[in-house]
Amino acid sequence: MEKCIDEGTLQAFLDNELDSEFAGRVARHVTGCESCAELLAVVEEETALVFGALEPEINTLVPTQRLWSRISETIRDDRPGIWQRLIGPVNAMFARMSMPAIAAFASVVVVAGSFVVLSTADAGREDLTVASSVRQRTMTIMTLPKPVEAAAPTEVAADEPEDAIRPVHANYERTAAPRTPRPVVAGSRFVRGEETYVKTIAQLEKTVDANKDSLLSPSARYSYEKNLAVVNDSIERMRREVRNNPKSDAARQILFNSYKDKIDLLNSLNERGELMASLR
Amino acid sequence: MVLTRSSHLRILVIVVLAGVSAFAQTPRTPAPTTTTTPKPKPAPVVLTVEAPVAIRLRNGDSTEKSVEVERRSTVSLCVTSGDVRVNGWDRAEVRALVDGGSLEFRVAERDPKTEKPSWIFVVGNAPVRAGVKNAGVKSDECLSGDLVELDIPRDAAITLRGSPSDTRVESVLKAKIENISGNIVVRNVTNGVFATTYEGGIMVERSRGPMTLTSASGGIVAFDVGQSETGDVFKARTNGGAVTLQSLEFRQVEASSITGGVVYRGKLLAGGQYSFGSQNGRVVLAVPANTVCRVNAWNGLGGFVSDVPLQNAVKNGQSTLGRLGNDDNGCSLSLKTTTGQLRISVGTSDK
Repeated sequence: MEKCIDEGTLQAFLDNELDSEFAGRVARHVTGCESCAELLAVVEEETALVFGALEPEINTLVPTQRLWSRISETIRDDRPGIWQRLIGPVNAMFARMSMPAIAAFASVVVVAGSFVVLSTADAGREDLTVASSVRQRTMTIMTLPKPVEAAAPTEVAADEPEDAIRPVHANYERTAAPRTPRPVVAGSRFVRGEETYVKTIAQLEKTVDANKDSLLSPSARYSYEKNLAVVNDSIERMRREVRNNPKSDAARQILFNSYKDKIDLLNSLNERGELMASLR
Repeated sequence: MVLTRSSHLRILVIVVLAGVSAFAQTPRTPAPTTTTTPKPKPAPVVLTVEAPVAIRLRNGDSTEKSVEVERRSTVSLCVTSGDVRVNGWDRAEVRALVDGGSLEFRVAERDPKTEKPSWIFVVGNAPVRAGVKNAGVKSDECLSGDLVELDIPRDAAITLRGSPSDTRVESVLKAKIENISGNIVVRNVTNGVFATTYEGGIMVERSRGPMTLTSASGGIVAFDVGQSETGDVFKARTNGGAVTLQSLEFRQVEASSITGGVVYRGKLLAGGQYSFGSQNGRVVLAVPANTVCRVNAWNGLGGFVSDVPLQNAVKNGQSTLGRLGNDDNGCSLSLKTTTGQLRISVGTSDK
């Protein structure tokens, strides 16, 4: 059985970055390999997600590069190949021939020239094959999932011909986010958007803790502490809920609402202090 | 025996002396205190007296002054102790009475045409500084007494801050009150109420205009209130009390409490935006059965119940989206709680 295809190659396949022959092989393999088909579906989903999220940026920032890529491809297609470049003058020469001797001489030259051309073409083909294999190899590097440090693209650019402009979206694939957007920031103890609230509250608490004994009567202090305890409890419970259910927008909204309540509570104490100070 | 005239005199003197002596030697019984009724004191001044102010003034410890002002003017004061009563009247005049203290008027601004004051400060004991305008009220100029009474034009606005016991404002254009403590009662205000108390409750009734009612620990009650202009907003927020709203005619309403409940009874107007929330209290809406509104209920770890069937309801974890009524042109209703209960029920009347 043929070896399974790695994710990077599948990514390149989806991005139409493989040459037609290799792409055909990949397609044939995927149709017969269930695990590769599943992997392809996953990669396709990721690609759709990433491009969906980055669509505005791609559409606004990159069109020039994409355009250049397309233009360079077009130029490459329109440029005459080495065979055409050689055949062209020969055809013109044949068109000017009128004498049999000249024609015979020309035939000899053509035959000899054909050998030269064929040998040149073989050498060129080898070069092209090498270039193609390099390109394929570098493609694989380019599309490795997520090694952001894959500064490989820069290296690739050095190896590639000048007119070969890499597809721009390859960059986005390398910097792709995890498969599903998570409100909990990786490696952080805060839910996304939570840190601002926490910092604000920390600042307010400094002032409040320093002044609450002098600002509040016993009954007001009781009421304040009770309310604070309720809000703190709500925040803790909703934080757990958000962590357990990171996709829930509702949970996050309610968590942030609890934070706002706490800020209002602390603010009310500070405002009370300001009013008292203005009356002294 | 014949008595001479001199003998008669001697006998008379003896008898008189003996009588005096006998009276002096008679033992006295102490008067029983239980039977002694104290002399009734003068009756205290009661509220039913026709002119209690005049009686108080006779005591000599109160001050009453008045000043002619523009009808559409602003009266500012700060009060450090005592109840405050502000009443609107039809005269273009401000009358101030401080029971148990003194007062002065300071003119901050005059109408350029009439030269009448359009903004005055009512200040306390501190000497009035001539020529000082727009200086505001210094902290040592706050009024202080048992009772502060103001009569101001109906078209005037009142601005009050301080720490009085209780504050009552009636029949004025606008009221802006910020108190450290004490309850606030506002009635018949025509163009806006902004009331804050850090220890106490707030009640507003029969008033119009934008309203912001904030209490740190007390309850808030508002009924028969509405907007005076399109776009007026009603906001009520308390940390520890309950919010009770009835017969509101606003299209933008926000009401919330942390530990208390929120009750709204009345219509939800088409095109309005309503937001009610409580951290762990109950949020209860009693609305007419024909209410048309988009509902977004964020119940968190609490619950959500609607006695009115929600159309196209979609429950997604801790939130429920749906619609009251079949029309799309209704209002927008947002309900939030973390651990409390949300409920929409059918009110008994349209009001």
